[in-house]
Amino acid sequence: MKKLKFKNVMGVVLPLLALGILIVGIWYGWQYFSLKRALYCPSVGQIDRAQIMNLREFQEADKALKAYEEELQKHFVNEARKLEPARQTELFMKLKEQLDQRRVKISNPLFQRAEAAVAQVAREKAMTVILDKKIVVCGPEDITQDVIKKFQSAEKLAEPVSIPQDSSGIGYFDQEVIRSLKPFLTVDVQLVRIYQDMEKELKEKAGKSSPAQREELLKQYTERFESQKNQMLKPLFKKVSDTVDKIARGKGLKLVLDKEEVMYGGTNVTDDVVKGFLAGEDFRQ
Amino acid sequence: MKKRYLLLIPLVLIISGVVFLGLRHQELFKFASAEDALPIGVVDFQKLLRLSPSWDRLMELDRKVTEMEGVLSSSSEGVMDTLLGEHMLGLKRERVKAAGEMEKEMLRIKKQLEQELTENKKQAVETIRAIEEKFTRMQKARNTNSQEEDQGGFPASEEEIRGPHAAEKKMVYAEIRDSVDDLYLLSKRQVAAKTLELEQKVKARIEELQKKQDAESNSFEMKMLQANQARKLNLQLKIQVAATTEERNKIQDELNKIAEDESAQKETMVAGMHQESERLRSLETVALRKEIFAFKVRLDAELSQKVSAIQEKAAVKISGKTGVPPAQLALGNFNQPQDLKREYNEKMLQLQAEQNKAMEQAGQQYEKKKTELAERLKKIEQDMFKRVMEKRKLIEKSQKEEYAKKAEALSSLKKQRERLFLTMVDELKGMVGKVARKKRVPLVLAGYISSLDCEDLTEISARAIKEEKPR
Repeated sequence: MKKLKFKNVMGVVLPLLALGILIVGIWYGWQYFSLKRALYCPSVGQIDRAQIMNLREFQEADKALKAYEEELQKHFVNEARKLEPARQTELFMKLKEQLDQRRVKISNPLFQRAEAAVAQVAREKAMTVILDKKIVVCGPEDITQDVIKKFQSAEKLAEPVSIPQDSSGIGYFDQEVIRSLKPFLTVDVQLVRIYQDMEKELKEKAGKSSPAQREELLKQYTERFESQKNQMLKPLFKKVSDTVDKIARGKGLKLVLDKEEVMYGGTNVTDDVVKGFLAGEDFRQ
Repeated sequence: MKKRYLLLIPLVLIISGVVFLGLRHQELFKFASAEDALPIGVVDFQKLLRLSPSWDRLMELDRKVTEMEGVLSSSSEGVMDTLLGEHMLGLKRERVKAAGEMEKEMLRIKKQLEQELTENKKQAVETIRAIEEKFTRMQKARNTNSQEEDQGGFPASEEEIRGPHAAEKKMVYAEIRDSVDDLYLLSKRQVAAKTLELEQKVKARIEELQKKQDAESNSFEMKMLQANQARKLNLQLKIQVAATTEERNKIQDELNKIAEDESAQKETMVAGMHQESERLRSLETVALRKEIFAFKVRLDAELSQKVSAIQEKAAVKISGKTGVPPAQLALGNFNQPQDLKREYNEKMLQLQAEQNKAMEQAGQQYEKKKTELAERLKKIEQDMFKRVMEKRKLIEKSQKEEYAKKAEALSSLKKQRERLFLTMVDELKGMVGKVARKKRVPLVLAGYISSLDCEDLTEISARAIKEEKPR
């Protein structure tokens, strides 16, 4: 009786065990093959920005803006002939302002909706960072189609109020802000002067030379200018780079990208980099 | 029963293997659930691209694309410019030749007209001289008659006076002649002064008109330039950003047309002003001559009265000395004969009128010829423009096919390049993905500003690519 009991139990338990193990195996096997193409990092996603920018809505906005620009151009041509040169400039500035206002009116809502769509999809997928596809080599899930669906839906999309705490270690900063700082602008002005002087010198020399010599001179001057430019900008770039490293280390970041490449989430270190870059530095040349 | 258990053993082993693999897989992605640790890898994708087996082919395609772009740009601009340039050079030569010939013809006509006018003038001078001679002859004849008759008429010279009271008469004659000569001299000076004054007035009026015309011309030119400035600026900007040669040529044509219009408007304006100036000059000259003539007539009348008064006075003087009553003295008339003078003046007026008419006619003839030649030149230019346009169309037509073929080839090359590049990128991404999986790095990025705690997978990926390359 006892023997029979054991046999009966084994006869039930073993197939059940085998079935359970089979289910677990199939689950992991499926996960292995489905993730073969994309490495598994659920907190980071990627978007094809170019695909979003090519959407019908953005194309139509572009078309409308172009039409408005042409209309303003025609208006300028008609009006300018009746005006003095100084008044012509005034009119030009006024029309440019009108165009900018229209651009804000037409394009901004679209950009805001796109941002909101990205944020919503990211929240739904529990992602804390969304990157531009162009810098991703492999890993994150591509959420472009989800974002497009969301963007084109009739759903009212709320703008992201707060972005969840990111633990990916990805930071970013706005390089344009750094390039607009005084030390960079000072170098830019100096470079313009150097360029003008070189251009003058080149014209004088080129006037007396043959076309082949002129080509050679142009090459030489271009190289000279580039070398001068690098020489003047190198210390500034190094300073930016050192500052970024310092700030990133302080904030426990692993990687710092350009603002353009981070579509959602991440840690913005622009202000810290600006402060660090300008703090106690003497940029006199 | 035992056999049944033995059959279960391989099944259990297979299932255990699958479970083991699954667990290994879970081990591999254990970071997936651990939120605090996301390893990030970075690669220098450009470097990896250069190591790709297809890199040389990509470079070759790039070279071909650049070469084809160069060929296309030179076939659309260079060849067209060269062919059109040669054609235009020939046409320009034709135009210069035509303009030169016309200039020569204008000069010839001008010379001919001037010669005709000089001839007219010469004839007029000769006619005047003939009238003057006739006038002098008639005066002399009258003098001779009065001497013979000693009765009225034109006074004889004092040396020829004989007969009773000859000495007294001679003395008075001398006095009268002196006074009359003075009066005539004064009259001549007055005429000369008046002529000068009037001529200066006319000159001033013409100068004033010219100044006004210059100002008007400048103002017109400024207005015209201002009116077209914005349009020209706009077209010049458009030409800078024009995408095709066709578009650029179209804009250039528009710019040329504006310049031609401006030039034509200016020419019309200048021609109108010149005509107006000539008309005024002619009118002023006629008015001047009329005024001088009227002044001379008035002066002659005054002179005649004065001479008569002197003569009467002289008669009274001689009468006092000789006792002969003034009416019987018959001193003659010191005034120039009125009928002859009238004829002289009328003839002069007629000659002046003829001279003016001839000048006016010559001017009109010259202007007519000038307009004719300008029209001819304009026609030549229009014809030139038409021929350039036709030539351009011909070149465009012959090149269009060739251009389309090359453009198609370029487009195909570009597509080929794009396809290859995307394949290369996909292959490299796949390879980096494999490396990343081996290294348990779930996120690999290319392009960063600062990388602190990321694993650089460039070298290891490069090795993997090199290993795969021979295959």
